[in-house]
Amino acid sequence: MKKLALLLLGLFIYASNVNAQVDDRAVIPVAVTLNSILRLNVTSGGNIEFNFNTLNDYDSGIQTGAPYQTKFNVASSVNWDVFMYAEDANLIGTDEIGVANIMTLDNIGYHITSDGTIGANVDLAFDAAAPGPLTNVTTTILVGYDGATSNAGDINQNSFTIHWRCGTQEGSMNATSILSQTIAADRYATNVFLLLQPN
Amino acid sequence: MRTCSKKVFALLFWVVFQLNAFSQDGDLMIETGGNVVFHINSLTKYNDGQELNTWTRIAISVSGLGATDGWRVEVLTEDPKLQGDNWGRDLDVDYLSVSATPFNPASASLNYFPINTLSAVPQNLITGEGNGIFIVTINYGIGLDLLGTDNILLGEWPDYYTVRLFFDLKPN
Repeated sequence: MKKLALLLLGLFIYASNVNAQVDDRAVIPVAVTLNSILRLNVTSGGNIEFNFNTLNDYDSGIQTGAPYQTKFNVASSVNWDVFMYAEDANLIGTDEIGVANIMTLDNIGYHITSDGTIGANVDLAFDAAAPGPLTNVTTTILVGYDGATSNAGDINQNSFTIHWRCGTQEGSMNATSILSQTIAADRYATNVFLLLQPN
Repeated sequence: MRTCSKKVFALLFWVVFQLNAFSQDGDLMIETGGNVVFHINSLTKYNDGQELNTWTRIAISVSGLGATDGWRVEVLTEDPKLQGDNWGRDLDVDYLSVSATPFNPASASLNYFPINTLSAVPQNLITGEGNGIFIVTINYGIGLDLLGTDNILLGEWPDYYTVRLFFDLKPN
C-alpha cells in the first residue's frame, strides 16, 4: 500500500512537471547605429575684398551689400554651433615687404541672417542695426543652438549669410574712421575660420 | 485487497488520463532574423526613419488547448531606453515600432496589432485561439513617427545603441 502511495505521489509530481503552460519567451537584440553627420559648406563669398578709393570710403567706411556677403550652410544630425574667428590678431599688410603695416580687426564688422527654414531656432550673432567686430577669439559663436529647440537639420533648414562691412563705425565696431586712424595705404588681409561643432 | 487494487488502478488510469488532458504547451521559436540592426547614416534616415520589413520569422507552436482557448504574443523591451555605448546617452525605445504579418496559412486566422511605439510595458502584438503552428514575420521600424508627433531621430547623439526585445507567448 505504501509503495502504491509513493507511486501515485510520483505520478502527481510528474504530472505537475509535464503539465506545461502556453508560456514562452523569445529574445531578439536590437541595435541602432547613429552615424554622425556634421558638414559646413561655404557656397559663395569665400573671399571678401574691400577697396577704399574715395575719401568718403575712408571717412564713412564701406557698407555691407551683395559683394560683401558670405553664404554658407550646415547639414547636421545633432545640435550644432558655428564658431568664427580670425587667424591673426590684426589685419596684416601684405604689399610692402619688410614693413609691418597693420589694421585692427574691429574695423571689420559683421552680422548674420538666416536664409533657411530653421532660422528662428538658432542664435544669430548681432543684427544689421548693431553689427559686431571681427575678433580672433576662438570661442566666438557666430550662429548656433539656442538651448531650447533643436537646430539639427539639412542645408535647406540651415542656410546663412554673413554680412560684412569695413570702417563703418557701427555697433561695437571701431568707432574711429579709417581716415582718422591714419592707416598706411596697403592691402590688409587675414583668414577667417568658420568652425562647426556639435553642441 | 483485490477491491483496493482495483481502486488504485482506477486512480492510476485517471491520473494518466489527466496527464494527457492537461498537457498544454506553447513555444516561440525564432526561425530567422534573430538580430535586428538599424544603420542611420543619412539625414534622410534621421528625418524619415528606417524600416526592416519581414526581418524576423517566428514560429508559434501551441498544443493542448481547446478550440476556443485563447493565447497572445506580447512585445516589450528589457529597458525603457536603448543603452548608448560611448557617451552615457540613451535613446527612448518609443522610436521603435513593431508589427507582424502572417507567413503560413494557419497564421492568417490570427489577430494582429501593430505597435507604433514600443515600451518596457507589454503590448499585444498577436492574439489567437486553439492549437497549431503559426508562422509570422516581424517588421521593425525606427524613427518612423507613426503617431505624427515629430518623434524623429534628428538631433539624437551619434552612438551605438542596444536593447533586448522580448516576445512573450501567454495564455489568455
